[in-house]
Parts: sequence; structure tokens; C-alpha cells
Amino acid sequence: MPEHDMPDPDSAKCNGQRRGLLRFFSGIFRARTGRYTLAALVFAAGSAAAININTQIYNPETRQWEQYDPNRAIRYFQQHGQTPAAFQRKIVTFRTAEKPGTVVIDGDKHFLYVVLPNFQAVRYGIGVGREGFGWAGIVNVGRKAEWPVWTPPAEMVARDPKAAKYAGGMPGGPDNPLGPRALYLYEGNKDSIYRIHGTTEPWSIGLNVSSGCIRLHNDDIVDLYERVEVGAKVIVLMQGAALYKGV
Amino acid sequence: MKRKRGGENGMTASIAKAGPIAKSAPWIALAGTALLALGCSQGTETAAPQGMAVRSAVETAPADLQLLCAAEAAKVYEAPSEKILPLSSQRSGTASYDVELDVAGKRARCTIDESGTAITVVDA
Repeated sequence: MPEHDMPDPDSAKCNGQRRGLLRFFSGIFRARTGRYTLAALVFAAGSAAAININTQIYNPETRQWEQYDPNRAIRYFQQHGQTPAAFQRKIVTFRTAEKPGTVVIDGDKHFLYVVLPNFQAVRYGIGVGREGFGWAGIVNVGRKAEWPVWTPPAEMVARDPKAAKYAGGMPGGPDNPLGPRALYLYEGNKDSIYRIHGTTEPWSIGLNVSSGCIRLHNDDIVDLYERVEVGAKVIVLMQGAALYKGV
Repeated sequence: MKRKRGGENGMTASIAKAGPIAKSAPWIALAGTALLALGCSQGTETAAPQGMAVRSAVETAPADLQLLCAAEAAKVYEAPSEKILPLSSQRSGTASYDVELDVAGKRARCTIDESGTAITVVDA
């Protein structure tokens, strides 16, 4: 089954997901009217209005908070061999009534939590959707895959000969942009086209870089994969983002 | 008599009975308090994050507090939790946050303190 939400390995963006999103909504416009069309319009309006919250990093030399953009993130990763400490896996206090195994994504702070018993959670650093591609809602894990196949979208195949090579699907492996594991997010029984997956660009954790995919370090997605079961609730929080819920 | 002359409180009175070092104790205490206050004050103003700390450009409520607000709204509005989603949040005081919620299509506002106690949940 073709994947349609995969990240662009060259541009660090989930262009495939964008295509999937457009296809999804064009399908809605073609096939349905009434509340679905209205919902799609609300979604589109929300997307246009969404302003992502960026990450800042403290520079002890200048004693100033500075923008943590892709260039800065790459430089940091080259210098330290890892992302900033805050984005590394950690068990934290998490006061919630949600049951253990629930996934909570704080897109503004670039954290993903999986709820543990006794008011604790495992916290992971994540990369999320870039401007206009962030989303919020309540979905569930519809299925999971180890070493998922990545199929580049048609427009990527058309412009990139390297991608064309994988038009029929790139087998799972260390060079696969989805990394070693993927959790497929569904709304009810319907594929939302969004996924939580690994990455070949570990420096991008903490940034708004995708078209809606949630990306983790490869070690982290493997850890998360073991902790989360199919059917688990996934709550995505992102200030000002379009609501997926109800669409 | 010494107690009365030395001052209205017992401490000053007993110092009046003591030697010169003890007599300077109030000044030492006063100076210590002032230094402490100065230190605390400067510590607040110049508190620098350790190392290369990161933060969000905009301060939002911690995710768990946002979800506690959603849980409280579920009780108040008698709505299923799957129909309630925090939309935005901001600090509303030194120890509290305002969280805007979507409650089955309607907007509500919750104020919650840092301890996780929802103070109010009202229509927005």
C-alpha cells in the first residue's frame, strides 16, 4: 500500500503528506457537501491563520535567547553530536487523568509524551509541521509498522531522479526517511494521513519542518513503538493550528 | 527596668545585658538580611539558564495542565472527553494559566494554577 505522507529526504519536509492532504481535501470537495465541505473550509482557514511557535536557544556568550532555526540546529548537532538536552528522552512528572499508553503531543514545545502510571510520562523531543502545516486534534494509533516502506509522492518523483528510483516504494532501511518505525494515526477507522515516525535528519528535532508528520529520533521512535499499542489515544496540542478533529 | 529601656521586645532587652559583640548583632542581622535580599533580587534579574537551554518563543501552559483543564470542562459541560481539545493557552498570573478549549464546537476558558487545580471554567 503506497505511503503518502512521507518526508522529503532532500528538503526535510513532508511534501508527500502535503500532497496527501490536498488529495484528501479535494476528495472531500468532490464527493461531499454540507458539513464536510464546511469543515474543510474551517480547516483551510485555520491553516492559513496558524502561526507556529518556534524554539529559542540560550546563548551563554551573548546572554540572549536566539532563534533555533534549521541552520542553528544543524550547527548545534555538528558541534555536540546530539540535540539540546531538553529534546532528549526523559521521564517527567505528568499530572493527567488520561490512561497509561496515551500519547500527548505538545507541538508548541516540541515534546511528545507517553503517559505512564503514577502521574509520570516519558517525554521525547519531536519535529512538527512547518508554518501552515501544524494541526491539532484527537486521533488514535490505527496501525504500526517496523521498517516502513516509503513511497515518494508523484511530484517528488517528477522533479527528483533519486526519488524516481523509489516510485514504487523505498524498502525500510537506514536511509529510509521514515526511520525504523512508524505509527499511523487514524480518526476512527479512517487514515488521517499523519504519522509519527523516525527520521534521517536527527538535527531537525525541535523544529517546525514537516507537512504534519511528527518525527522523533530513531532510538526514540523505537522506544515509543514498544510502549504504544494499536488503538492508543493520541492528543495533539498546537496553538493556533487547524483542528483535525471533526474534519 | 533594663527590659523596658532596652526596647519593647525581649531580644533587644537581652542584648542590653550582653557584651559588645552581642550588641552589634542586630546590625549584623540587618546587614545580612539586606545582602540576602540583594542577592535574591539580583539572582532573579540575572538568572541565566544553564548551558544551551531551549524554550518556546511563546510561553504556553504545560501540556498536562491543558489536559487537566479539558478534564474539568468535561465535568462542567457534561461532554465526552473526546470532544474537548485545548486550543491555546497563556500565563495569566505568576502561578496560573488561561486555557482556551473547544468543547464540542463551543469555546470555553479555563483558569488553572500551577499545582493543577482548575480555578474556573466558563464560556469564552
